[in-house]
Amino acid sequence: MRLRPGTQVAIVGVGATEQGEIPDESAEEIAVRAAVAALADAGLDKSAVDGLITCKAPLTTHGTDESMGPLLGINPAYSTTLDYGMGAFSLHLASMAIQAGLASTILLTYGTKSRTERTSFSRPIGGSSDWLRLAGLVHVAGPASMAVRRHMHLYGTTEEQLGWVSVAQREWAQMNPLAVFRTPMSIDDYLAQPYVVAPLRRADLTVISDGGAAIVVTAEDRARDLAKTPVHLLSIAQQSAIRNEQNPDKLMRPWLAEIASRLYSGAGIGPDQVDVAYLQDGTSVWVLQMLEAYGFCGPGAAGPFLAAGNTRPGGRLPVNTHGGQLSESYTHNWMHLYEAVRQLRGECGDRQVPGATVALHAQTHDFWKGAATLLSTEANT
Amino acid sequence: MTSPKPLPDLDDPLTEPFWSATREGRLVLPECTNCGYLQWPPVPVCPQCQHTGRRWLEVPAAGTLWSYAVYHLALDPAFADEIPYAVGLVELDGVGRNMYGIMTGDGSALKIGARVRGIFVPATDQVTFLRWQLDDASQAEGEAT
Repeated sequence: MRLRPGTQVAIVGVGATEQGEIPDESAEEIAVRAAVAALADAGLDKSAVDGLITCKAPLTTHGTDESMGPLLGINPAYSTTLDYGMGAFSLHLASMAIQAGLASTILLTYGTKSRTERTSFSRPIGGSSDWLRLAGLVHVAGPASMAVRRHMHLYGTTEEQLGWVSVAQREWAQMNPLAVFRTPMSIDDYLAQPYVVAPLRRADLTVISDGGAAIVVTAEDRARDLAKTPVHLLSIAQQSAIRNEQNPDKLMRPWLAEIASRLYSGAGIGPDQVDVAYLQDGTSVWVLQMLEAYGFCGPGAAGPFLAAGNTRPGGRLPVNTHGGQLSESYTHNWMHLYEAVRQLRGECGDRQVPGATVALHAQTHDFWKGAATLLSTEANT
Repeated sequence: MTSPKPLPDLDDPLTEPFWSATREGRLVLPECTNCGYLQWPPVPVCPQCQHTGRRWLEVPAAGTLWSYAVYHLALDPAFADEIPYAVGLVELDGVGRNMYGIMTGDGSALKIGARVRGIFVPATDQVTFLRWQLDDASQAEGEAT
């Protein structure tokens, strides 16, 4: 959907805590620290907040609006919690709430303790969980490895080509002080790692970390008067796959291309005009799939596209310039959004992509649904 | 010492016929009694027509390997004694449905597109699992030609 003049919204503040291990604070306390940073970044007092959208980290009970309210000390006109803790879905909800007139300045918060609480991700992913568990198919690495092995079979994709997802992101992470994994990793280092679920290795799977992130979204007329350059939402799109039958489409996720089609037609631009891409990377396979779905290369061509270095520092399409979930931290795409905003504002220092004006922020909620946003410092006219 | 393998709930009327059949070495799938839609996995309401009646249709335990994952790490400790083990997604012959299942062996001989057939492996007096193996007959035939 295109956001039109008069009803547009913008991200006007972002905040984050350190990422990694934060043993001495609750997930809510971590989220509050990020929220305070985001409000300071926007130059807003909390009294300006009339909307609150909190995120419950997946697999936990943390972070509902009712648990955040007492710590933030606010009674916003509109408050709610999104259950599955995802950045893009929350951002779209904020956009809708502003356009509907429920609120004009919305704070979005997220905090997780998945590392120190040792949250188990070794569970069936994507529905029919009892059948998957009986088949020993636990952890997202299982279905992701099936998807990429099929990709290899159909298109000749190699393990080395896939490895460039993780290697490129590690190169970016080395320039990001927040990143958990900053040790240099060459493609040979990658290939020398043992399999976890073949053909996937440790470096193909998300970091598990504690951390918080928050953003502030306002209506465009308010955004103009604030401290930082507003980052506008050009268009938003989603697609669900909640019927979720056990068919090949569930793993290959061709429906991601439907999000891309609606997203680009909404903004009136194409993939060639995207300067930087933030593709949620619970596994490296999701990056491979999204490069094709969002039109950066042809169907089946993501392997050669990656191996040519397009996503690396200096490449044609920098991807996950903070290191992503594979190297920076695991915050369910919130830190991807934080990084996208800061890249568009030109604040990323050594890893700044020169002249970046349009960013794609895309994510999926496992095999259930996907959401994407085109972001720019230039609003739609 | 590994933790025990997960077992199905045999008291669940939605899936009990499946497990009764595997005990007899048969593969059955639920079919909607209103629209004929074949379900896998079983769901309490037909996803096509929202009817709740179903009957169980026997289908051949044979198919083609669509893809597979080879576990080198026991992400579920219950399967630690089988590492490395492979889970396949099998396209069942003639019914247009796909089924996840453990493949026999360590996964090294598997190939996408290979012919596979079901084998029925008793786990307890009550539970027989359906696992999958490469169809030796078709492989041997392939080598001979």
